[in-house]
Amino acid sequence: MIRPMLLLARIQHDARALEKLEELGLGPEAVITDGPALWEKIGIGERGRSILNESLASGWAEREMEASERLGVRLISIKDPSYPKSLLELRDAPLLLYARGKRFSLQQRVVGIVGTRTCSPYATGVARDLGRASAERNWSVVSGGARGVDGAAHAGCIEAGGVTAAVLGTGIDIVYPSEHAELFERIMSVGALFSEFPLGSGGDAWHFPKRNRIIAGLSFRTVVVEAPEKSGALVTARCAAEAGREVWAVPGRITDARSRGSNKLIFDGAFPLTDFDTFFEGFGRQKLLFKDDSEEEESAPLNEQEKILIALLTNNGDRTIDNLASEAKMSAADVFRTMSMLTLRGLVYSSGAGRYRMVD
Amino acid sequence: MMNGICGVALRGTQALPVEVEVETTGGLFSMTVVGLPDTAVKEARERVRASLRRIGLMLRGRIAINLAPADLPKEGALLDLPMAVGLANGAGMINCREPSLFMGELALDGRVRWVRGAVPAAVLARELAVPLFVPKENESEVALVSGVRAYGVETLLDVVLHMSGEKPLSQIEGGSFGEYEECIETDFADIKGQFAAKRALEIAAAGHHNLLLTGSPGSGKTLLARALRGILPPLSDEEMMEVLLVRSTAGMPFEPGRARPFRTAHHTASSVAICGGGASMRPGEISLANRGVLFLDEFPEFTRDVLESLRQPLEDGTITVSRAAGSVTYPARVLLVTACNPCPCGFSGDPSEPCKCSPHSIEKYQRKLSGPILDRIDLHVAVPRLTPEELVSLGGECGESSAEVRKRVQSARKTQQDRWREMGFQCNAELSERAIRKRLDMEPDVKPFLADTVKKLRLSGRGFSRVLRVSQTIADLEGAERIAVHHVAESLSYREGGAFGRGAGLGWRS
Repeated sequence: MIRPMLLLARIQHDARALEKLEELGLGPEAVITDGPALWEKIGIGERGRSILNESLASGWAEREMEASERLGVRLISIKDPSYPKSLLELRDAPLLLYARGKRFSLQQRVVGIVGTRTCSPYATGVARDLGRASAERNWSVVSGGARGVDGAAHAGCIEAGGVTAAVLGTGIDIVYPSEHAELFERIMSVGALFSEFPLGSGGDAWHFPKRNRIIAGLSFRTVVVEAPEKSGALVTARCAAEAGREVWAVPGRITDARSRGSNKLIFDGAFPLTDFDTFFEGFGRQKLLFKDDSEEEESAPLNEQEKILIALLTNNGDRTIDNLASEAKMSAADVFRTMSMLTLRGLVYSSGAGRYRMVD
Repeated sequence: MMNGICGVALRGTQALPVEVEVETTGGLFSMTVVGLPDTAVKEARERVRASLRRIGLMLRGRIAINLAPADLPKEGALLDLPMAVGLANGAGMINCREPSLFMGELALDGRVRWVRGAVPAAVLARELAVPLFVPKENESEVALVSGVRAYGVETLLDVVLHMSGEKPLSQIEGGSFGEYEECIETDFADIKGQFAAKRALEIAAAGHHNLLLTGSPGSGKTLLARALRGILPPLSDEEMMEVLLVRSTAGMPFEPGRARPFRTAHHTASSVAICGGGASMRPGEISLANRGVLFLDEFPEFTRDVLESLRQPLEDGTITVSRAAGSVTYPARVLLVTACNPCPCGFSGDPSEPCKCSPHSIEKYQRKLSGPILDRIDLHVAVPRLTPEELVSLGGECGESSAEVRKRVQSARKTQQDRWREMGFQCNAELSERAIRKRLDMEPDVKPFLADTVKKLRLSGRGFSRVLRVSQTIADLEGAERIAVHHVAESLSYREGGAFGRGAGLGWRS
């Protein structure tokens, strides 16, 4: 069953190819048994046919299966019971997913967090907070594993002990961007990496918009955190809307080119994300079911200095050590050590060179 | 080991005696210098001949001058004077009774000109217990070497008259290094705000920790680096001597005041300029900064060559330059202060100005900063560029003066020296991995805190050691007996990626 799916996936054919086979009263195996005459009938072009011929002759599919086993990659075909149900709603659902990491079901309560790679510190902050907030409310986070918004969303979710999955635009054995090697490891330890591209595929430009439909398909709600006018995140939003999912966007400054696309989404009818509680309200009851306040009781109370600095950060947003020291009438040394303690407790984080911000 | 008339050759910051032998035979006039002379030494023939004519000695016959040992390369014009004295002695004009060291470049009219390397020569003369004749202009630096019988000469004639006893020269009187003078160019009290960076500088100075300042253009990195000089403890006599030796070897005048050297190098500098070497084997910037500060701005822009070559001297405190002509060792114990932008355009993470760099170019830029050289940098500090609102709210606070900070630094240094004396370390930055694991004194609640922190922040082994070294310095500055949790907490802010979250502000890397 996997073999024909592998072959069709290699030439970028999706669920629509199966439909055509079914119209002819055939199963997927026919792709291998019936040969080139059938291929043309189900709309495989000349280039696709020559790749199929070559693959069959060289035993590519078998090698791909062996390699997957060696790398610990699971191949989940569209007929597999563990194939995410939510993807089936896409017309062009991938025939095959390469998966690495934990086995977990991605059926419900999944939020897709997407945005531009070259984003503002504000956007990384929001993405990270949203990742955390999702984890705290027992939502899973799906994103693209890219720099900027994607990475921050994954990271925030992992930090708060949540489950997250990244849908890659490269082969699943490729780490792109390379600085995310550690992030990918951590994603696999709590969730999974997915890809629809054969092992070893590089990050061709057309891969990324294509995989965006999977992010949209997996997600119950898609949030565009920040996107300029031309951005892959807008492709995800469009796919989500086409699949009948909710599209949310984080309002940005109207003067900032980096949020022009996401703001336009709001104008076009996306929900503006104004606060996390409203965002998660659709599953309002879960908030009560999963809210875990045991941790808060456990942790030690804040000391005087911590209280002062937290109050300053709450009022001002972003703050440098220098400003905090001067406003709190504390020495730089005291601010440094208090910030370290607060960072370790997950209450503040560094939002840029020498700047700190409150979490959530 | 030496007899007669000697000059010197420089090897590193050391002077070696060069014996000058003269033989004259009959025949048409010719003059040959043998014994690996460089061009400047060969050309000495003309200067020597003209100077001797000035004092009434006409050279005749075939003259051979041998510079021994024959296999040591001789360079520069400092051998002019011993050659002239040797010829005068050979001609019977003077009678040199005791072995002596001579150095100086001759002018055509017999004046003796300033040369580099007078201090190493003085040290050599003291070791060999022989008199030393140096150019008058070098007198002041030679005076700083105590216990040497040295004479300053203005002209070749001075030497002749001294030797014949007609007009003896007076011995150079010993000088002193003088007292510490406040370095007033950049005082801490003149720098507005920057409390965070000033604190980091104080820790760097106290524990001799190398420092990396990261910040957008115009955030004040260079000014801060310069201010570091004023909070460092004064040079001791021994250290003064080391500094003096290097400066004299490089041909630079002596700077009084006991302030530590501060050298900056531009990022276009070659590894020879930084490490020393070149055709005439001179000390590089890292040796000129010995016992002081070497400031490298735009650190990632330096060539990989230079960055690599800094590793060994930072580890050993000396630098060995090997060339075909032999190898020399210069002292190179520096406090390395580096500065860089967060990205090529400088505005990554800046709240008011967008970053124009592609992710690829940022990664390339930051990758240059990784690797072994970063392992030698204990303190990472972000110097944010303040927004107008933030600037206004800071007001005019300036904080302590350099002198006040220096007092704390000095007492912290003293604590470290006393504590580590038996283990052979001068300061916390030199602590070995072993000493860190076994010899640090901590409060009982520090261990569990560290275990928890290492897990949460995913600190690497090296990152962990750096945090502990810095914690010890913070404790020493406070005068605490043992390292406490709040010392470690502060030091965590200075780890790589601590206050400057690389990788989407995650602060994951240690």
